[in-house]
Amino acid sequence: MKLLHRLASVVRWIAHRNKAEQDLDDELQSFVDMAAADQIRDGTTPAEARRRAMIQLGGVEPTKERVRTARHGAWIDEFWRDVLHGLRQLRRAPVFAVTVVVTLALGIGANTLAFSIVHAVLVRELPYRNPDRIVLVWFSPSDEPDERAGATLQNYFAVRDRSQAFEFVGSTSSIQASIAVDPDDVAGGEPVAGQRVHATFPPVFGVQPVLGTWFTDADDPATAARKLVLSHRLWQQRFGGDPTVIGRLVRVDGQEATVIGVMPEGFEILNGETQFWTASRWSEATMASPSRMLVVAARLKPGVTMQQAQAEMNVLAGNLAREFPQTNKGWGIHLEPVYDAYTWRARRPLLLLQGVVALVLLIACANVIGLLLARASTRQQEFAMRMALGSSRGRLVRQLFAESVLLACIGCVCGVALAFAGLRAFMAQNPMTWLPRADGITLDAGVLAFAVVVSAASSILFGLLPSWTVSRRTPTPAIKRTTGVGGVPHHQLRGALVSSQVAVALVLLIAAGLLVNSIVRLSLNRPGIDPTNLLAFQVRLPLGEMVTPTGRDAGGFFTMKFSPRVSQIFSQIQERLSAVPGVQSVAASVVAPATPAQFQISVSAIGQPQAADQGSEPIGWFPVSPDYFRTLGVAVVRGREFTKSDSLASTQVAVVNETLARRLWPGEDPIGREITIDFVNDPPRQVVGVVADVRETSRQRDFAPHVFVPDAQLPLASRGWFQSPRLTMTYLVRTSTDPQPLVGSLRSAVSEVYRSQPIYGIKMMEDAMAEQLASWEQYLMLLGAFAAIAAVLTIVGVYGLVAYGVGRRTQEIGIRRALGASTSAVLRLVLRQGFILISIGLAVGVTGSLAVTRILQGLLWGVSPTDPLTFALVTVSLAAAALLACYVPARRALGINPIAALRVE
Amino acid sequence: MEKLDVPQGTLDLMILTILAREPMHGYGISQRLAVLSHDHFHVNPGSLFPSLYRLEQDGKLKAEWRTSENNRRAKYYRLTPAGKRQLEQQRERWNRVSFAVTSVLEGA
Repeated sequence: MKLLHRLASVVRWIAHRNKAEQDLDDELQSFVDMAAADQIRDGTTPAEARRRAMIQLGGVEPTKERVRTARHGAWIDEFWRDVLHGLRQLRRAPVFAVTVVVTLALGIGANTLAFSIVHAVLVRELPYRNPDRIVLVWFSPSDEPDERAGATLQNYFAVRDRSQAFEFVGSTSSIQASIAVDPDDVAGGEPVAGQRVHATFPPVFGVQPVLGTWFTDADDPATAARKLVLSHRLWQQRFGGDPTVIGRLVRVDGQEATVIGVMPEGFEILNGETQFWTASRWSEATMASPSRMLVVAARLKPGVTMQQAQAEMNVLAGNLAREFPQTNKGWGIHLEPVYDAYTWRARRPLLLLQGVVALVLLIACANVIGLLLARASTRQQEFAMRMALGSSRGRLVRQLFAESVLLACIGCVCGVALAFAGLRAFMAQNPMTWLPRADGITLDAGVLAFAVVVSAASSILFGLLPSWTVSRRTPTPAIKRTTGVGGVPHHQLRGALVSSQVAVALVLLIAAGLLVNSIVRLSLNRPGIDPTNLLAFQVRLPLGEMVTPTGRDAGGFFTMKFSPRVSQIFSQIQERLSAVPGVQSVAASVVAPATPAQFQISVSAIGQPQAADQGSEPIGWFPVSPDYFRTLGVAVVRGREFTKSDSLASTQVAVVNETLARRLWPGEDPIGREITIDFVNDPPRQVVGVVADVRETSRQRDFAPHVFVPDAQLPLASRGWFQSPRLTMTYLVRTSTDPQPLVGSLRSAVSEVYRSQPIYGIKMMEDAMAEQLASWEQYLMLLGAFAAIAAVLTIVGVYGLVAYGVGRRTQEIGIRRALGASTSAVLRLVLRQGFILISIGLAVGVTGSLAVTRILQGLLWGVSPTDPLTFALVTVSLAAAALLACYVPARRALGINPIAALRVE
Repeated sequence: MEKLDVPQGTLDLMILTILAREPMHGYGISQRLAVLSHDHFHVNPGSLFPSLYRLEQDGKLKAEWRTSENNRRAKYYRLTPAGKRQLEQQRERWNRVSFAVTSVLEGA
């Protein structure tokens, strides 16, 4: 009741503040009147009586102030008045206000933007039930424990059936398949990424489909009917979100399958591209397969620790090595939490990004401290006056603090707006390629809370310091306008601010410099093919029609026979494409150019003595069509390239690149030499040409050895899972003008050859190659932009602090000039101080950079983390800019008229 | 004569006591206090008014503008029932405190 009453009175008081103030005024006035009337009655003159009455009251304003603070809820009112007062103050100093708000908005915005990425990728919980209990079971060679290789089928069953540590164990492998919504559509269109999963896989992740069901044990054996679970995206895009999709008959790579489930939005397992899941099939016949294509995931039993599970896996790895030495000798098992598997690649770049923006915020805060200090000193008189009028020191500190909070709030709002704009620009550039779960990057409640916390923390940081320095002043000298005395601690604080800003900015700029250096070197790094007017697209032949299974070989691999029609169809398509008007030349390749070599195969020269380690080194293997090098614009250095006459019936030939030629036949002519390629059933081949080196990707620095074979000469009898890519051909079409308008006629040219084979993955090579660098450049640009912001803030900050210092010494400079100091002497006076502070900052910055740029290793390209040139250039540039920031105010000090300066008093 | 400081916490009690007799304005309260304390207490308005406002906010006093005996407008404070209860409680406590203090001083 009492509390309610009090609350009501507080509300009343705040609501009727104006009336209450008026009331108080009137009451004090009546007090003075009555006191004066009493004095007059005692015989004092009215004027004297009034004076005495005022003395008795002890000053109107201090009394009012004491009444105000005595009230309940006074602090709310006080704070509100401080905010209003602060707003008025800011309006009166718009340049100051805008500078502070922009500085804070940059700092807070950068942090919010970075955190929205970090939050989505690293902080957000994975969308599984108890994701911290899920581990991936990798197999890695004992001498390369960091390598993450998959499990063989035997390995998988061993982990599933023999381990005690896991509640559920499942496995998955990646596939590509065309999904035909219409069961009559045999070709099925563009293939999409999917995963084959074993029936025990779903319970590992504990996520239920939104529609239908997952696979069950009944789907495991090879005889089970084919079933399909759709991703939410595929369901929306290809099935129009049809709620009755369950039970629908579709075709997966031409084979019938039934849709049994749809997964929730955003559900993925290690690969965000995955659009569908089918049941893995296995049989006793496939059991001995040595291919390591299964990714095994497991859920730890409750109470079992990672260490216990790992210990059990170590024992299991030993047993497997004894039981299946062919596939498991020298292999260990390595458990990895699913969170780590998701984030290991992104963690370092993102934490680095967050660290950089934290430093930007620190610099921003230092700037704001400098600005507030400068401003506080110009307001000394105001504070002195207020103290004289009865404000307590605490009251002044609170008021200054309220102003800081106000600035932080405005800065926070602007910062969030900046982050929002920045995020849109960032997301427009497709960050999915380098960030897992990037589709979840938004400014959600968590991110906004972070922005508020950051703003609050920074307002405490930059708000307390100036308030504290103000509160220590005594009013008398300040009210007497004694400038030029400049408290010593104040001065030291300013110096420390300048030095530390320069130091932090230098670290950021050196990091940015190293990254920019990498970008420049990369852009100069030509891949070796000419991508202008070069169009690439893919054509895929159906596996079922082109391949006949022939059983299994001694090693357990599937064997198969390719139809001779494969190379016939591919070369017919090439011919037909060449006839399209506007096309200069056409080539085809099983491996798209300017991508990492898909197949690494060992090659040895017949009759050539070689070092022990040679021959085992894997070499990029490229089955290509005639005209391949001509179309790509790769020089044939010696010999010839492939022609139509290179067929299965003619001499088996190969082309090597210069790097491989040098390696196999150093200083000799490779033409006419014979090589063997460790590819299934591949006969010895004669080298007929040497071609110039081409980089596999735009980021590759050194050339890798490559061997090229005519795709028409690939042996028909083959084995192993990696054969199906042979049915996907990448066509490269060189045109005289922009190839984009020709896509329609190219499409119909292809469909004339083999039923209505669709073409897909159409892209300009120029774009494709730029794309490879895009994500990396995007990250570097982001870091570079933040470093640039830091640099600008620092220069502004140094300028502000020095200009403020000079302003305080206006009078001193005037006196010196009046007493005959030369221009250069005054300049030296002002610059010397700045020079010392900047030098200290640079020294600390260089030392710091030497210590921390190591963490950039792996992000840099062709530049060492301590690259002396970058260090020198950046340091000199920052020093020059900072000195300039000192020089401008110094120069202005010279322009001061000594007489005017002295009259300031 | 040297003025005394009002002992901590007794100003409210004295204000309530004065107002218990009749409603009074701020100046009157300060005058009455000086007279009743034989000029030992001279309460600064800077202390008096904050106390008055707080008591009013707590519902112990009720204030209204009236014309004084000298035909001046003044803000008169009067005790509310809650103020009366508070006065009784505080007086009772003060009596005990002063009795106790006096006993100690005389008994020692």
